Amino acid sequence: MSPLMNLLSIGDCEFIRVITNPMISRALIVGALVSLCAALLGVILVLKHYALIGHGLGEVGFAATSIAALVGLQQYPLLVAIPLVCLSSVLIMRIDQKSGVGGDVLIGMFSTAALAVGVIASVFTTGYSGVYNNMFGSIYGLTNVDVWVSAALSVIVVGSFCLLYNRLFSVTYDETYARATDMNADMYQFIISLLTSVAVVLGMRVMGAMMISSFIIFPAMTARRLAKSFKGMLICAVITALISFFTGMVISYAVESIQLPTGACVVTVSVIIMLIVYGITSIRYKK
Amino acid sequence: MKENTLIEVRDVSINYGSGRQDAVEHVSLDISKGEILAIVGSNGSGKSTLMKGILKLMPITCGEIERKPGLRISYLAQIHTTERDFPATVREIVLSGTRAKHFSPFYSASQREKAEKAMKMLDILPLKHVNVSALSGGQLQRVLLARAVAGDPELLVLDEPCSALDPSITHELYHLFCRLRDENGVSITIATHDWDFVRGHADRVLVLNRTVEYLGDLSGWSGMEAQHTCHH
Repeated sequence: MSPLMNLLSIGDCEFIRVITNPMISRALIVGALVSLCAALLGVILVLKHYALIGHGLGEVGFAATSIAALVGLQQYPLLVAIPLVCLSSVLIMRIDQKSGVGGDVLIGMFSTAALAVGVIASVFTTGYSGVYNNMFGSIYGLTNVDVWVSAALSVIVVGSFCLLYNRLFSVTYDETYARATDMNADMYQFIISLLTSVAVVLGMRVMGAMMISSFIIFPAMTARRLAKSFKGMLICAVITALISFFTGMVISYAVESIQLPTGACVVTVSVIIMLIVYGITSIRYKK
Repeated sequence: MKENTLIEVRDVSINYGSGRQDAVEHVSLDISKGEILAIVGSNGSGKSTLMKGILKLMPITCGEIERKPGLRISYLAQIHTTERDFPATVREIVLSGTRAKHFSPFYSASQREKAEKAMKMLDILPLKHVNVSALSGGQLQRVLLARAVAGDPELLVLDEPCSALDPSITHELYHLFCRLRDENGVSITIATHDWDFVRGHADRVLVLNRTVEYLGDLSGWSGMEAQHTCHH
């Protein structure tokens, strides 16, 4: 069947049959929830010029997953990855604040060191196919644990954004003012770091370590161009992220015959959306 | 601490890392309710450092700073400290200055009311839904002052708030500072180079040159005449 025919056949009963397949429904649920969380966190990270932390942590997550396999926990990679990535993000943040070493240097050091450790650990277990899966995601290999952890993460992220909206805005817009008015800016940064870590680990399972920072950066950049308020940017980023994820999913599934990797499809769709938005808005600005 | 005192600074020194010379040395002062205290001194005299110490933005090396318990402080810095190209409307920024009594999602009705009042006082209600990147320097400084006012402060700390603004806007802001003191009883501590403001509005003046050269009312300072001649 040609890819186009395959795409068209996802209609009516076929559509129901596809999305009720547990493998696919898990992919859809985890992917959508992680897109949502990464888009919200991404707005803050992009505005604070800290977006590459996602990329660095993705590679730490890759190392952690390889180490999990090495110590016999390949069934429970999250058990090793979540604590290790959280620890790294807190370390990066603390060293950045306390010493003069810049955030870019720290992220570079952590990510390349983690990459090296991860590759070596993989050689002893899964070999290079494991490296490939961890690097570019294995969206149909998600488990029920992934579903529950991503549901819990979404509740926590959306809950924090509702409850701490005022404080998160202040810390993002003007950290000095926030500190001067007795706000505990460090605590809010700590919360953002931890939530980002969990989102990165889950996103890595879907998108792969190499692609996860796109979940954080592209929706936020598209939204920044469209929105004139902070609230508007958050809403815009979430919508863009969900559209990119579902479109990318459908494309990669529809052209199954050549096995397009889902992560790469989602990233390509989000890049195209961003380019279209920048194109249209720059024509509008010129007028 | 006396009843009318908001902040008491006792023998405070601040330096930027061990081994370096103190930027501020053995400074003692107190800030009282409803007064305008002007901190003057040349560049590098430690004005900004002292203010950062008072605001807890910098750790003090020795000495002690005591605050009235639960003191509400707001702050307005020199212009351009915040990013101009930021997706936020004027209303969002002013709202962010309000303080919540309880932990509630988003903003409470009383917070929205305070923000509205502050925007009205600073005459920026028509700009409410405008993005900050579209504002002029003077407008932005009014927005940031509205954010400070929305926090219902007892003490407003101003660090050269009018540098880089043109004279008519500067006058307007000075007028607003005085209104805040007279109508809301806000105490104002301002670092400034503007002797006209000091002469016209300050209740007390602190002359700083790493250490306190003079603290008291204006008429008592012998250096006043020198400043007067050198500025005119």
